[in-house]
Amino acid sequence: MRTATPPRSRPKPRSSPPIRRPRARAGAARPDVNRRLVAGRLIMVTLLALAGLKLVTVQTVQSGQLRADGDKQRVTRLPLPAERGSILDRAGTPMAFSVQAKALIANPFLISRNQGANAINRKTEIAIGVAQLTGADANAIYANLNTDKHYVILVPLVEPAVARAVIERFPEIGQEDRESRQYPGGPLAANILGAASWNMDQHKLHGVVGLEASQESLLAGTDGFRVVDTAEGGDTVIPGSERAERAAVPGSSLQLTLDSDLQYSVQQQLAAYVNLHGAKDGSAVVLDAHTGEVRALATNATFDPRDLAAASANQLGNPAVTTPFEPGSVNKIITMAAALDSGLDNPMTVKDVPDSIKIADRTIHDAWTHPQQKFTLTGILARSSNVGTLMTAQQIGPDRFWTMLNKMGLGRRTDVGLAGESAGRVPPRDTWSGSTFGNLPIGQGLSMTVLQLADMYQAVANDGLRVPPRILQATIDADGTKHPEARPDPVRVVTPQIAQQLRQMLVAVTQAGKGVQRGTGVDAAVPGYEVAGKTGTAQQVNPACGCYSADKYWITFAGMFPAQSPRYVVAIMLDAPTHGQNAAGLFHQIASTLAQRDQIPVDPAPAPMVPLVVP
Amino acid sequence: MSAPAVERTRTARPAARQPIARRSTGEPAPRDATAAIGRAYARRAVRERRRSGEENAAAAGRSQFVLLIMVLLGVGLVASLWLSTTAAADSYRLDKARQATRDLSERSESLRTEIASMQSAPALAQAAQQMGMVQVSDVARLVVAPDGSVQVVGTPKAAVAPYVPPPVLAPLPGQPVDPAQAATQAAAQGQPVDQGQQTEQPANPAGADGQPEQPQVPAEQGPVTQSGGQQLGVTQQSTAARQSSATQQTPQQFAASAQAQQAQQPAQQPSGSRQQTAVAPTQPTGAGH
Repeated sequence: MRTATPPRSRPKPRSSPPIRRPRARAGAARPDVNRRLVAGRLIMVTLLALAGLKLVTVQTVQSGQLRADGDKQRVTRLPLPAERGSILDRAGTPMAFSVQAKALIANPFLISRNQGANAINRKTEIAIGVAQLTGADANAIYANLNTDKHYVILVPLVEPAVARAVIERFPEIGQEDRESRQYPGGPLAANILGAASWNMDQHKLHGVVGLEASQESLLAGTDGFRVVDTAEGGDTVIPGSERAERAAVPGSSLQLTLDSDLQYSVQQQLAAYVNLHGAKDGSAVVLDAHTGEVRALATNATFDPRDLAAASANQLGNPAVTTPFEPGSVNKIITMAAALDSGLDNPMTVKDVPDSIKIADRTIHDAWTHPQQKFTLTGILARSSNVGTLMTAQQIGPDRFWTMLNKMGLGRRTDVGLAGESAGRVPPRDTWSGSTFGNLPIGQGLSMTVLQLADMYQAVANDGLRVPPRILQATIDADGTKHPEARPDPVRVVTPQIAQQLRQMLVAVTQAGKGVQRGTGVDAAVPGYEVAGKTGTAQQVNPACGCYSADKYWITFAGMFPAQSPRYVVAIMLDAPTHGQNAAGLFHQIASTLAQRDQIPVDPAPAPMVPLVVP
Repeated sequence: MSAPAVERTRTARPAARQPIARRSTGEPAPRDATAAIGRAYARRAVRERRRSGEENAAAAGRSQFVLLIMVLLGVGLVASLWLSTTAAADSYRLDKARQATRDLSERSESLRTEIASMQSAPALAQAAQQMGMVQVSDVARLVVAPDGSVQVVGTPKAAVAPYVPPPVLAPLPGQPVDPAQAATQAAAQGQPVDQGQQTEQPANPAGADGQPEQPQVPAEQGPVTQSGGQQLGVTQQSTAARQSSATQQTPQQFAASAQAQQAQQPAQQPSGSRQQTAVAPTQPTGAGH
């Protein structure tokens, strides 16, 4: 076998010793090995069971807590700010809108630590550099940097491009997102629009006063968010790690009925007139005669929303809707409307008017002394005779007067759409004493806002149909869909014929006759047009004695233009002017502007003279 | 190509396994050893011949396959390299495009803001005032009757700037109001100037002579006619704006000195007196709008 040359590989397996040896040993050590095997298996199984148990615990019992802990380290919820809606005028010209901006921030403490002794130089360098790039005040920046704070805002609002340039030059400076509210008109309609400023806590623009505040929910929109994984200790988003995202819903835009050009000229004219006559305050409102839409609403005390900090509290309000006053003779229109409506009188009814009249315990005089004269009803209104008005009121009785006063909307808010609107004060019918009915017909003892005054005359201008004034025209969604505001329900005050007669009587107020044929509002007349209006002078209450003051007045004027087919209704109130007790001149200015602006056709025929006093 | 390769290896296996099977089964040794050995050698030769042929074929197939895989891998590698390079290059382009988009949108936003503030009513009014225009309050109108006769309604007269300077005037953006300008504006009140006059003397702003009490020169031009019964504001013309340049020196000098002062400020030591280091207005203030 061994001499043969077959390959060695074959006999090898036949040699038994390697096979035999383990067999002999295995036989001797078998019980020990078995024990070891059993023990090993047991250990393995136990470990497995333990691991399984732990797995179940981790996966079910602790899973919520662990996931939350993990998320806390990685997952960040980044807000997606919603852009605030704009405020537009009726032509779509923006009156308030938002743009993206940045705030430049710094950590002065860190700069001081890093720069050591060089800190002062570096801070000076930063202050000058930032001031150069942004146009801000270098002193203020330097003062901010020269503190030990950990967070200062160097420049609150800068353009993003400028902010980038600053950061490129000074790596110590950081930037934060801001939304800058722009008011291109400055003080234009500021009392209506109000102002919005940046809220550090909510990290978004927040309306402070005016429409910006009252329409906050509409303008602000809804912020969105994005849940992403970020690098530990930073805001670097790990790409593709978005877990959830809800897009921001931009705020709706608000379209007003205001005409910004008209608003501007009314605001200018009012301010100039108030200054000229030394009045404490003044308001004016222009309504569309047919729709009751507010075309302009101005007050003398105004502010610049771009510089809110400089505004005082009384400038921020909107007294044209919030502050009522006693109207005076402009209120006589109610007596006249009730008299014509009752059918007892017509514009040419002649009354024998003495110089004074006694109502209950009080004697009321006319504003000027005159002998007993025969006034027409038109004359009583045009000459603004208190005695004649009270005679007329006595004739129709308090109930008819009360009904008309309610139809005119006094004592109730107009719901114009501005915050803090006052309803004025009208004594309830059941509290009237004897002298109350001697006060109300001549416009004392009750109060109204200049907007309510305009609303009253709007009824006369609109053929007896009073449409409550509105300042919101529509809301515009972010996608451009326009939702017109609901139109208010009109109120029928008088018939169109009576409204026409009332307008004719109001035209006589501006008639430039001689002597007793002269109306009280001649200054309001505009050459080439018929103007209908009514002057008013109401004594203010003197708080010292609780009586009516002898030298402080509310000067009012309410009128419409052009008289025959009115387009605009204007109401004006001046608070305690020191000289020139007449607001008709301002009406003249506003009406003249309107005539040029709208190219209202001229009526070349002179208005016919109406007899105010007959022999 | 892979299917035949698999088949071949399968057929090769039983040949290799045969001797093992026999070893296990063929316990008893063959009687005729020599003959058996000879047969075995013969079988082995045959087997080896056959196997070498098969192996050659199998090796050829396998190497083709390996080559293919290598080529595929190589192509894949090159492709992925190329793609990632392109992606990197594109990402730069994307970044640049994004930056350009951002810059442009920021620019459009700032331009829109500028437009909005320039076309707002106060800014327009101020611009008009700087051009020497004044608000006209009462205008005379011409009404043309159907028979061609013309009727003048109202009294033609020169427009006069309001007595009181408008108090709620918003400054134009980028044009900080300075004392020189305010002085010029105050002087401009009560001084009628028309546009025609303005084009003749563009460097002469409205009444910059500081003489607001200058009496009005009556209008020398009648109302402007327009057909069809339409009305138009009467254009006024006055000679009051023809001022000697000597009277203009004062505000101009004032403005120039104010400007010079402001220009000097940034050059001063900043840590010292720092009250005027803000950017000085770059355009001439006061005169010369």
